[in-house]
Amino acid sequence: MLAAVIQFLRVSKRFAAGPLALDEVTFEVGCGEFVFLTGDSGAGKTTLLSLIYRAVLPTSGSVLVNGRNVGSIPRKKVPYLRRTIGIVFQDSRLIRRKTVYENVAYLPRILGYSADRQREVALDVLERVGLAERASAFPAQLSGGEQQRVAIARALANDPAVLLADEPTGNLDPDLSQRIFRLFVDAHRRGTTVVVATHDPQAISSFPARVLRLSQGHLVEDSSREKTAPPVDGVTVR
Amino acid sequence: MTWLQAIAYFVGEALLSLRRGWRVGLLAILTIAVSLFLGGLFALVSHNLRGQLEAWRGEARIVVYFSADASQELLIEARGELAALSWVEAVELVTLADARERFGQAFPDLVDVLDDPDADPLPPSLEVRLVESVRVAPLSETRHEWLSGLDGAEWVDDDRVWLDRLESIVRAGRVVGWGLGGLLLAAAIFTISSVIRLTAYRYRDEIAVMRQIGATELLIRCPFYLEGFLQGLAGGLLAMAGLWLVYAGLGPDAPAQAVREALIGKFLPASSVLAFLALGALAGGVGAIFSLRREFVELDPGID
Ligand SMILES: Nc1ncnc2c1ncn2[C@@H]1O[C@H](COP(=O)(O)OP(=O)(O)OP(=O)(O)O)[C@@H](O)[C@H]1O
Ligand SMILES: [Mg+2]
Repeated sequence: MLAAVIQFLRVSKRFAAGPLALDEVTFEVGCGEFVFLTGDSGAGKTTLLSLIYRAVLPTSGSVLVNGRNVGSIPRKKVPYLRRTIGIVFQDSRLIRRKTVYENVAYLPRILGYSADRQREVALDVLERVGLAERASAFPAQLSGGEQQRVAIARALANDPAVLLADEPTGNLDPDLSQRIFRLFVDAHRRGTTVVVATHDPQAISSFPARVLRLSQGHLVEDSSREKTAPPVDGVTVR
Repeated sequence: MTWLQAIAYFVGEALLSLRRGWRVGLLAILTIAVSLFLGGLFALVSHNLRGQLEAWRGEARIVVYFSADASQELLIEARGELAALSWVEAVELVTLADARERFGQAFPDLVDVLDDPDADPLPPSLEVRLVESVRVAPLSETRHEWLSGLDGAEWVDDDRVWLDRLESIVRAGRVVGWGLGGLLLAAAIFTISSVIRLTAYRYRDEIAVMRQIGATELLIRCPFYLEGFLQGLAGGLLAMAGLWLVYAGLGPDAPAQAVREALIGKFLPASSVLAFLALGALAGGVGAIFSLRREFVELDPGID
């Protein structure tokens, strides 16, 4: 197997006094893999992704990114972890008072790229999502699908090792969804490790990829494991 | 990011934020301006009064008044006695006629009053200028008594006694001024910190996004600090401009010149103006740091 980029080792997460959002979840994502993360609402998908970029800390177990335990990264170093990870949310979360270009160029800018390099990088990723000509528009002037494409461009601007997406097509119609998914596939083809959380069964069936399924905090299906060795305990839920 | 890029980034973001939220920003600037203006006014007046008092002290004299019928010989003899004293620098004899002339110069319309036979005549006097070493403090009791004991002397008037009284009033005024200015400044810091907190709150989503994509705390916070700093500086500039307007507006053709001269005759020295500007900027910066101390941590509960 490829070198693991993301490793979860018996990771549990409990928010305050609630039930376990994740319960002893263990899996690995190899370098360059494309993974769908699926499951019902409340299954723990967002929680799982948040653990990867350390928006939340595990209650127990450890999360490793590129072999590093994210739980033990000092707080001040967390931004540097996040810079190696591109993140796309269901709501695009663009900065409203910045133009499309400024949103996309933000990370290259804070990374200290030269102005020329910032422009080059930003226009290149905007080109990839087909929005280079809207660079000077503000997010509010774009459709939902376009905003989401800008968000993807922003996530790709730093050429991240890992791209995480949390229901990136939740608000979009099926045609647009296909288009968005193709962008992830494109990034994957260029060597990025991609993890996409989605409810969308159509997307999952139309793009051949590994599927991780969560149910009430348990990892109940891992298609890659099924292929190589079917689960002995038979907990697969369809 | 090089430091040059960082500074360009901080300034750019701070100015952008000031431009967008200028209405609330203006409130912060105005509160700082008002408190620094009042503080500056106190400083201006006390600066002038202090200068005036010092000038008056330099000119301060002791006047020994004699009875109106004291003879010229008596006065001249007394003058000789005084002039011989080690602590006396000079003595001037002001005769009845001199006194009359001075009065006539000071109050030309009232000079007729002196011709009224029932009016008290102006007494002759000896004006004593003291040597520098004893010029500042009021006269010691023994010297005072010695002067009162001169033949024909009726009353000894020591300028420094009321100068001392005036000075303690000025000093008390200054304490009140500092206290008031301090209170106002605290209010200004509070306002600025509320404004910055409000701004941070308005942009909390944006800040959360910046965090999620890997901006460091420094990159997120510094524009806010700079914003507070600039607001404070703007408030200070506004206050000093207002003070200058008061000073220049009540120019040499304003009424009550003597009062104007004593209170705001000279503008604050450049060092004081700079100190007020620095105080404004500092208050703004402190307000910003204060407002972002806790707030931001709560925006990203994950980093705990
Ligand atoms: N910040 C939080 N505080 C308390 N409970 C939380 C928090 N975030 C998630 N949870 C709980 O953890 C569980 C998993 O939530 P999560 O958001 O990971 O689910 P999800 O699979 O992303 O669902 P959806 O498909 O609706 O987005 C839920 O029971 C949820 O209520
Ligand atoms: Mg979710």
